Amino acid sequence: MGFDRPMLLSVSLLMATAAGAEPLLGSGVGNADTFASEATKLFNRRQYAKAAEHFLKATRANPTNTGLYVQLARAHMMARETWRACYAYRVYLKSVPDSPDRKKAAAESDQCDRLAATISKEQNAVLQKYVDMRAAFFASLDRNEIMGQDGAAQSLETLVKDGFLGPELFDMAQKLATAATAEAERIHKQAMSSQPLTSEQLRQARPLYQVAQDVGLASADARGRMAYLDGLAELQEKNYRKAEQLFSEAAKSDPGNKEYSFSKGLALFLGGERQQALKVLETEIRDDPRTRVLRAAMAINQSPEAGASELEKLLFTTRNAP
Amino acid sequence: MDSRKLQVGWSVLGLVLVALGSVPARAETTLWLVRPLYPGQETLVARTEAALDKLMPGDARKGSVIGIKELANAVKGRRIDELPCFGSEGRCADPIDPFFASLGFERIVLIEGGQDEAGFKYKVSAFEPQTGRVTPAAATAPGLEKALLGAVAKVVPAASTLDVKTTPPGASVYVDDVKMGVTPLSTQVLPGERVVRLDLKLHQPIEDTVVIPIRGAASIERTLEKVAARIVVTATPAGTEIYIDGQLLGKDKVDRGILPGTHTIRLSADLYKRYEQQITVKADEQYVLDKALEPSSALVAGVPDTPGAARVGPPPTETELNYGRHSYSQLSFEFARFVGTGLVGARFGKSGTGRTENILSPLASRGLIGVAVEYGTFGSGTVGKFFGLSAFGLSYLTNVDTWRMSVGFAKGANVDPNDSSKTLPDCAGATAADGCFPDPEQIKGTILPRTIDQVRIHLLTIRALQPQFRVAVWHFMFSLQAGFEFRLGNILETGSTINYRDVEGGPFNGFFAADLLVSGRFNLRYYLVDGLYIMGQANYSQFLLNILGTSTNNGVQSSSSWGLNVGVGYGF
Repeated sequence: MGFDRPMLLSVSLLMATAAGAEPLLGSGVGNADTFASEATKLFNRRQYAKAAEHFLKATRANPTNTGLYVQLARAHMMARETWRACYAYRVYLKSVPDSPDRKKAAAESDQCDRLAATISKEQNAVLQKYVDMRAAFFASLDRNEIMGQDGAAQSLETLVKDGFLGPELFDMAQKLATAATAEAERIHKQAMSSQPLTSEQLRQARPLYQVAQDVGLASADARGRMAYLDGLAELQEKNYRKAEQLFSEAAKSDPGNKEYSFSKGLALFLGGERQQALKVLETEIRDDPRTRVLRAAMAINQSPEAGASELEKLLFTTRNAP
Repeated sequence: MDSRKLQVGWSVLGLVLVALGSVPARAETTLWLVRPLYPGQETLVARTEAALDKLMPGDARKGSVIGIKELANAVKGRRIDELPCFGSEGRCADPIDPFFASLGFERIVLIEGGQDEAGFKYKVSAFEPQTGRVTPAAATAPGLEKALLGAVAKVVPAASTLDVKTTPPGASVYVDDVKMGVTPLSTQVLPGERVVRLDLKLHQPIEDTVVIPIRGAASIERTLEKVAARIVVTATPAGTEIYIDGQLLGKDKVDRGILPGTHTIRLSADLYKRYEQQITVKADEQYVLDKALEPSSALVAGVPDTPGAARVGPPPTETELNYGRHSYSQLSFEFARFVGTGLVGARFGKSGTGRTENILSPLASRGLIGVAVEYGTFGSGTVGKFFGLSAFGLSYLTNVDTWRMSVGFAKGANVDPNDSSKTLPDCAGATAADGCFPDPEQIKGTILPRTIDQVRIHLLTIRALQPQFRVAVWHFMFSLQAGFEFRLGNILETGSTINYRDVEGGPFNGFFAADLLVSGRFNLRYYLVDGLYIMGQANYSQFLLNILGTSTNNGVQSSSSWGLNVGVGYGF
């Protein structure tokens, strides 16, 4: 790799910040029904621009609810945001070819198109951008390029922020989340099997898990895994206190994971708090071979007799054939 | 214990441990830890550690750490700041092997020792921290050091050499009766206790027990004594006394030099026929006799507990002969009688409501006669001598005189089909068509009688696996047995008129009884000659329940019974 370490760190942090800025899609955005309900109230109070904002949020929270698009279109229409209204009508009509409401919506869409008369250059550019970004998104996914300026995550974020609409956002989010999670899991698996990883490689997992979370499709284990991998990175950089906190968070998320518990004790051990380390390991993974070895080593440091006794117990417990 | 063997055992175990411990102290330190195998045998730990200590003198001892106290000394002053698996990099799941390797132990031998009825038992696990390999082994022997050696030897690479030299050379070398070659000989053998025999024609043979060390060498150097002539007598069964010219020279096998000339060989063993033979041995000749004695008639009776083993000592008493018989078969004549009058039988081959109830004949004519057979077995040993099983017994009984019996009907048979809370009245001869219950049973409009005459019964009693206790005194054998038995009975009318029959003309008629009883039998056997005996038996069978669930409207149940048997049998 041609990057130096501070630069990579900065890029990672930037990506993490960008990816984790705010949820783009899914339940992280909010409750679609709540947004729709609030939007309807605003619409009835003739606050059409605000109503359009809430309907847009509702489509972000649940892109597959096609009924929201026609309501969004009507709100834009009433707010005299004609071009956005016409775009929303077209998305709706495309997504519901068989809806009984389609005829009425088609009439409204025709009226909208007549009012809009012509599409401005800027508006045309936006539509073209949608096409380009969507193509870029799938091309990035094919290359398994998830993060970065040309990554699929960035393309999807641009699309959402620029107002791209449609149920296919859900499908795109799902594909992105699957790819991001798989990449993050690969790093986690390597770490769990004690394969050597740099702190930079370890830190790449968090933004990947975060991408999946931002599109509302994070795995249940993601929180613990992010904390564990970040903790390993901190451990490598000898930030033992920070590492211990992260491992504690990981162990709390997944109490059955012995590696998380051991890493918590390890951070304390390397930080010089050996008694505390043994206490943690005794509490959480009492019969783990590493706990047994630490117990014996501490006993040797305490007194030769205690050490000999622990060594004998350790040997007869673990190395005596049944 | 043979002190010479003990000394050899200690020496060899010493060699084994020297082989394990005679290495640079730091590079190849062996840690020996001992624990009791069974609860409450902590003192055996100290004995085992002392044995290990004693057997590793000099430099060999330096490479060994024996017991927890020496382990404490070995780690004294040590401070452990770094541990395998406890780094920010190079983490692992199990640091135990590298941890012990870092403590400087090349091999760790974990020993669990205990003492039970079989002697000393040692379970050993040899753990190599460098490779993580654990090799288990176990051994049991009457002596502590032999058992310890037996177990330790199995977890240490074995490559032992046996060197044998004789004067003169050319003697055949047998190790555990397998010929290995002729002297001078250098051969590889398995470690452990081995019997080495040196055999050269017209020389006095030598047999010696040698314990071969592990990863070591043993050597034997002997001078064989020349004899003018040699006689080799081998006799069975074990314990046979061998006399030559009236002098007892040994048991089982005699191999020695002898003066040329005529000699008398006599072989003698209790319960076997004595053997005597006159032989002539010439100078420079080797005379060989291999003889199996023939059993006497007393032994054929089966006295010894172990087949083929001869008794050494006085002849068995009659009581011992009795106990020596482990199974028996007997045939007897039986006389029996019901305690009460009830014998409940359901209709046989037809679902009629009729049920036999009571025997109406007078007491004097209620006897039953028949035959019985029985087979039983006893085990061996202290418990088997007294306790066994009556494996199988069968009795057939029938009434001496035909009987008269009363007949009732099945309980609940007279329930009104239109109202189950009511019963139909017994209207003396009226039928179901009259709204009455045809007591006891109606066939094609005819109400059958409440008594039957000329009744013949056939009873079959079956019992199996009844525990049996016996005591033998002289020719007598007393035994007591108890357990469940089944009684099956067919109750038939044999007169000119048969009322209770299947009107369709089927082969079955009459009644069928099936009862479960618990019975006890007292036997007295007198052995006449060999295993042949005469016997008498008293038995009592207590009725428990009717297996078919048959019950009569009057609540009558089948009776218990008692019986007496006389007969003959044979004990094997």
